[in-house]
Amino acid sequence: MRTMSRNVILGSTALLAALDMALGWAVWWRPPAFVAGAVGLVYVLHRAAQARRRAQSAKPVASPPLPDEELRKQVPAAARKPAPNDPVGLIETMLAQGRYALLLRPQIARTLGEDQFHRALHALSEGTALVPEGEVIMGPMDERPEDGASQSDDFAARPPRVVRVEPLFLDRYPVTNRQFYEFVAAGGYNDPALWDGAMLPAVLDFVDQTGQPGPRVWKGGCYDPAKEDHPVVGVSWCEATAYARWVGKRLPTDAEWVKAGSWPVNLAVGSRSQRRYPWGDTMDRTRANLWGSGPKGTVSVTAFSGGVSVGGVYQLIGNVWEWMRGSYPPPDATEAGWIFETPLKSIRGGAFDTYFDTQATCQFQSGETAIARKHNIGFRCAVGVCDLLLARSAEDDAAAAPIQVDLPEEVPA
Amino acid sequence: MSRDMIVPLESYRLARYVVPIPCYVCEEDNIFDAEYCRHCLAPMALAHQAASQKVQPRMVAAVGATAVGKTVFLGMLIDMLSRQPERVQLMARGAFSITLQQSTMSALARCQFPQKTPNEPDRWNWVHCQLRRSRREAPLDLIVPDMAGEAIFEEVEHPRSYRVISAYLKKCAGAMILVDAVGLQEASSDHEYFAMKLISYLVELNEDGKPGWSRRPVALIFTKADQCEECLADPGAFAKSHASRLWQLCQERFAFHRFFASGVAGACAWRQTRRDGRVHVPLRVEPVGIVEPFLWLLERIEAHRSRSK
Repeated sequence: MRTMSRNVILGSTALLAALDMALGWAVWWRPPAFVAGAVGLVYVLHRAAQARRRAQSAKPVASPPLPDEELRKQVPAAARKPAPNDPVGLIETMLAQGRYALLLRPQIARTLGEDQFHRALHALSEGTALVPEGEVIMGPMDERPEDGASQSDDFAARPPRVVRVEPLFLDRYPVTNRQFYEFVAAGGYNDPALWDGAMLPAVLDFVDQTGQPGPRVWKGGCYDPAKEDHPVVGVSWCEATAYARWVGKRLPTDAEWVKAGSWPVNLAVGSRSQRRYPWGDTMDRTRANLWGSGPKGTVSVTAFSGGVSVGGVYQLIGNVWEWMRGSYPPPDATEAGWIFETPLKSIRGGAFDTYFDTQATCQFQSGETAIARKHNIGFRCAVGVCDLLLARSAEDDAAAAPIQVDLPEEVPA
Repeated sequence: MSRDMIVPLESYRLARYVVPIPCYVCEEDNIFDAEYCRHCLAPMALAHQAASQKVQPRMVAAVGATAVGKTVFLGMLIDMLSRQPERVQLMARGAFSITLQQSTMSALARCQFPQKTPNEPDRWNWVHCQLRRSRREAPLDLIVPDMAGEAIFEEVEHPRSYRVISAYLKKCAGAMILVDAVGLQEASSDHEYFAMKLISYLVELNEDGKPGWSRRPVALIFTKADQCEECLADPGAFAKSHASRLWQLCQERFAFHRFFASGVAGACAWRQTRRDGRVHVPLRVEPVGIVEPFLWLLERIEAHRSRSK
């Protein structure tokens, strides 16, 4: 029993250290340590003071009632916190929270038991679709003017260009309210490590309609139960990025997203077939939730299954716009003439209120400010194949043995 | 060398020129083949269609300041009603009635706003359409022009400078007054003052003792509300807080009015182009609150008509 406990503690320490390392890797930019520490401390103090002020000045809410406590107890199935120094509980919690990509980071995956590793792999294959490596044409390749003009300004300024994409896993569905709730309930808004230092002041303002941390359209820190499997909306680019880091992923680049949707095929040298929509080259409004084809609002992420891409990604077109990792317009375009008061982030795919077919194609790109929290913008995550450990050696299995062998004995005790 | 030819004198054709055709807007006489009224420059096609189809189209006005978004609002409204047959279906009468819809939609689809409406009335786009409602048997004919903001401004400041505007507004059954929500949000009083001038002009328009604008329905529509969430959430409260003078004037002057919020572009940006210089462009098109004010206006017009019967 003593050996078992020691193993558990050792395993837990190693796992937590690995987790910390992996999280550090997932965060792309980090200020110098002392600056980050100071900013983080200030942020935490601000958040605490804000919560105290809100609690003191809490007034009865006149608008529709908050989701009751009973509901909130039911919703966060995975929001429970594992006991300290309980690696199995931690892994189970992370699997239930959909953070399998973090578990499959090489540093962590080597410490997992075989069963846990395979469950994480299974979750990866269920939740994401593989986008193979290859080239994709970016730019307004097929957005010709309808009035017979030879070339629009946009076409002249941004000629089509070929971009190479490395293999990646892209979420099959946009992130749902339920999935995002796990992030909120786990204190994602209070963890400065997940947020860019420059954005921390804005994080204090990322609250729902009742002042709780969460998407703008939520109430009482919780989503509308009827929209549990709808894509989360009312989240800014910063919130989407923080969530992606929390689950061990990132937002997809424009090229990755377009490649997943348009599924280019090289027919011959210099000849490439690339779809306008995930299902083909002509608009079919029965396959996407757009203006005039849906219920004038978001639908479940599993609806409109006819619009699935060749690779098995749902709702790339319609339902909600999706945040991309890059900027709008792309900095590498030979663009001149855009005048933005604030820099914009790229969004793609169109939403339930997108009016024109030409603005709901794989190629069409729009933009929004990084802190905008619109009713029709959501996101999905991606992770590079090279960032994950997808197969383990015999040494890895042997190294993970102490945790896996000892823990089942502890459960009955 | 020329050959002799006998040309029959079709005198009966000349007879048509004897009968004057009244303009449908200003009711002044014109000759048979006039393209535009020689008094107010409204298209005579409106009068010919009304005479041939034996219908009396009703008139609704969309008025507002320059660059408030009248053309985009009207073009989008017509296109949405043409595409969405559930509640009200709109069908154009005459090819000229499709021009506004066509030019607006083709510009927006390319992420551009349509060209500025010229000041000359004979270059305005007029829409004559038939509205079919599912629950009502009788379809309704409607005439809506896309009037230039500068011309409206000129007429309001100097009455009778644009005869077509005053003649049209006198005959209108209802109006949509468009006000720039972004301007109000930025505390620019000009938008509010112009809307107030417009309301005062309307109220003073009918001096012949007929029921004036105080009894006609008026929809006050805040445009560009997609960039102003407060306005989109509660247009009435927005009016009260950001345009209190306008709100108060409406309470005093109009028996039937309501505030609405509408938007067409999801986001906008400025762009320097080779051809047009610095232009405002929509980054995507997501119409919101376009049809609702029009349907409310139609309901009020119908209610007003049934009361007056």
